[in-house]
Amino acid sequence: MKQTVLSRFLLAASLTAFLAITTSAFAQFGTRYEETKIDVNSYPAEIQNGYRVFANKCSACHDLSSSLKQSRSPQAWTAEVHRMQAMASSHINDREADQIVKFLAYDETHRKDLARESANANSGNSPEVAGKQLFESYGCSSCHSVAGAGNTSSPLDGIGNKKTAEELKRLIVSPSSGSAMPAMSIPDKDLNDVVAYLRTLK
Amino acid sequence: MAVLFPRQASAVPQYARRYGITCYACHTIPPVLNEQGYMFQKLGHHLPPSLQESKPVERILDLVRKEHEWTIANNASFAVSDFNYQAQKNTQQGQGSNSTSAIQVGSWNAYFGGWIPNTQFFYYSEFDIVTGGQTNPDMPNAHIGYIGGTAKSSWYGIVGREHLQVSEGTRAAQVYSLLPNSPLVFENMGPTNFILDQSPVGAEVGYTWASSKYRDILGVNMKVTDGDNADGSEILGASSKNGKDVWVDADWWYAPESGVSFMTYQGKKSQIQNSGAANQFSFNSRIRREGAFGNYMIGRDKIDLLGGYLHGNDDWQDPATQAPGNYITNGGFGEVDYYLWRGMALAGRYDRLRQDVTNGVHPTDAEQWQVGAEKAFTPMGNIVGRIAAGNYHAIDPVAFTGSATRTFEADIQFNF
Ligand code: HEC
Repeated sequence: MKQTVLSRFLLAASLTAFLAITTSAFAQFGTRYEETKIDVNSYPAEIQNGYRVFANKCSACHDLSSSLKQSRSPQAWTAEVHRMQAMASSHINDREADQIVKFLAYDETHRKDLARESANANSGNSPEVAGKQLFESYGCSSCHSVAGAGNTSSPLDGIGNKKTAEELKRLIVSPSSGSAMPAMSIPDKDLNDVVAYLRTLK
Repeated sequence: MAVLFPRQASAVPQYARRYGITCYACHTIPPVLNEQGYMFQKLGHHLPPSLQESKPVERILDLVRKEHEWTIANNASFAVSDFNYQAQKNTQQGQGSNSTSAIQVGSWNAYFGGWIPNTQFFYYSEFDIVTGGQTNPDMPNAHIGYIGGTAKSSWYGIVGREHLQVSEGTRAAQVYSLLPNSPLVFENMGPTNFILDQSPVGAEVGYTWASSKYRDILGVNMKVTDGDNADGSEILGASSKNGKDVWVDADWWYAPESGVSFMTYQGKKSQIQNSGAANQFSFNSRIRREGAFGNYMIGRDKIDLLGGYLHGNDDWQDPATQAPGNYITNGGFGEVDYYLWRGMALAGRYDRLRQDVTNGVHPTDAEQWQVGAEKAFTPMGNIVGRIAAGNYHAIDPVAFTGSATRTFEADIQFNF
């Protein structure tokens, strides 16, 4: 009798704790995986195929948002896809790797560039405002957060107090080798805007 | 490999959380591991890096330096649980049949696993709160290890309590599968109910080698354990059982996702038989198992054909007459897993175990089949559902009575 009262109590306590923990864990999980799709209807058939291969292969391990937001040169994308090909269980063959690179290179000039142009156009000539939008369109927030928004594993809050504009530029374009921060290929104009925005984070 | 002790393994979502990757990076469907998941364990819970021909190979130290910041959410999963509905019909020869059904919290475990910041030490522990529907706190795993070398050629040493060896072999040698029950050969404890993997405290060493792009992975490991309270459940207090065990395991994975494993287990057990009764005696026996397991993946992550064979030869003593003898087993299974799309699979397995007690009358068989469907509902593997049906029937190798169990099971796992 005593035994069952105790075990019922334990079960009830366990379930309560379980619900509390799952809810908080679920909240965290929600911020980590983003379903991202883009409209490729206007892309040539070959590139649309490349998009399908990209979406299928790359989403096996991570969400697509960072690749769809980050900007890289075609050479840098090729290197990145080769790096992924050499991960265990990625099973991307050379033909598929080629299709993925072609898609990413095309998408770079046909969608990401336009997004950036409109960010510049909407900024009312304020580098800080343009920089905030560019921070999103270059995919910085897939690894960094500002005021809790984005990936909270590397927050950039207060960075404006810690680094000068010159230091920030160097950190973004040529991070120390072995660092998990990728070297970003960003045109000077955009770089200046992003840095102007980062300098406002005080 | 964790042959010979049936344990339910679970997906441990802290790892996916740590890297912001999906469960499919390391599992076909949780908890079944793929090559990357195997390497992850072999590298001391660090994500295996890209292995390119033209690039220098990263050292384990580099992987440690690149790790994300250590946080509790990165290193612990508190609520890995299984809720299930089970309907069973049991038939016992000469006694008719009875049916049962129940909805229950099947299991609820917490896992702590990760690395000690800025070092090549790693740790893993499992705390079980609910097991088999019973609130029964237990700590089946609690060990610490050191990993050295490079991502391509690494070695490790572990000490502590370890129910599963580090990475449990290639796909067909893993105790857990898409189906709720593991193959009979893994659960075969022998007619005197030895649990071979008894309260195992000991040491393990292993070596792992991977070729460029992980086209081939070779892993060998050896574990020596001593179970002082070796009846499988007690941690504290006196016990009348002891087990000393040696396990050796060799695995070869070849991309994509196929592999073979060889294992041998040698154990020396002692326990008091018929404790307290007039015919009490001390039973010392040697237990041996040798097995080979393999799987072949057709099309990348499409159809997986799995099979295994395990031979056992144990000393055996009749509990009633104390007459010495041998208990010889030969068991095998064949399984087909069909992945309809990512995160959804159908599976079927047939199992057979032939048991022969030398002073028994003739060998008897245990047979089992199971079919099931499994689906992961979220990319992070936090919710996995499964339905399965199965049939088991066996003739006891000593008493020669038959029994059969028909099971239907629906379960849902919450992994947080
Ligand atoms: C793939 C993930 C990733 C992306 C994308 C990324 N970063 Fe980083 N970044 C990092 C990591 C990780 C670090 C920390 C590096 C280290 O400590 O070695 C870092 C460091 C930095 C730092 C230095 C922070 C400090 O406290 O010193 C700045 C500034 C920065 N990133 C800005 C950016 C900007 C701007 C972008 C977008 C143009 C960007 N990052 C995109 C991962 C990323």
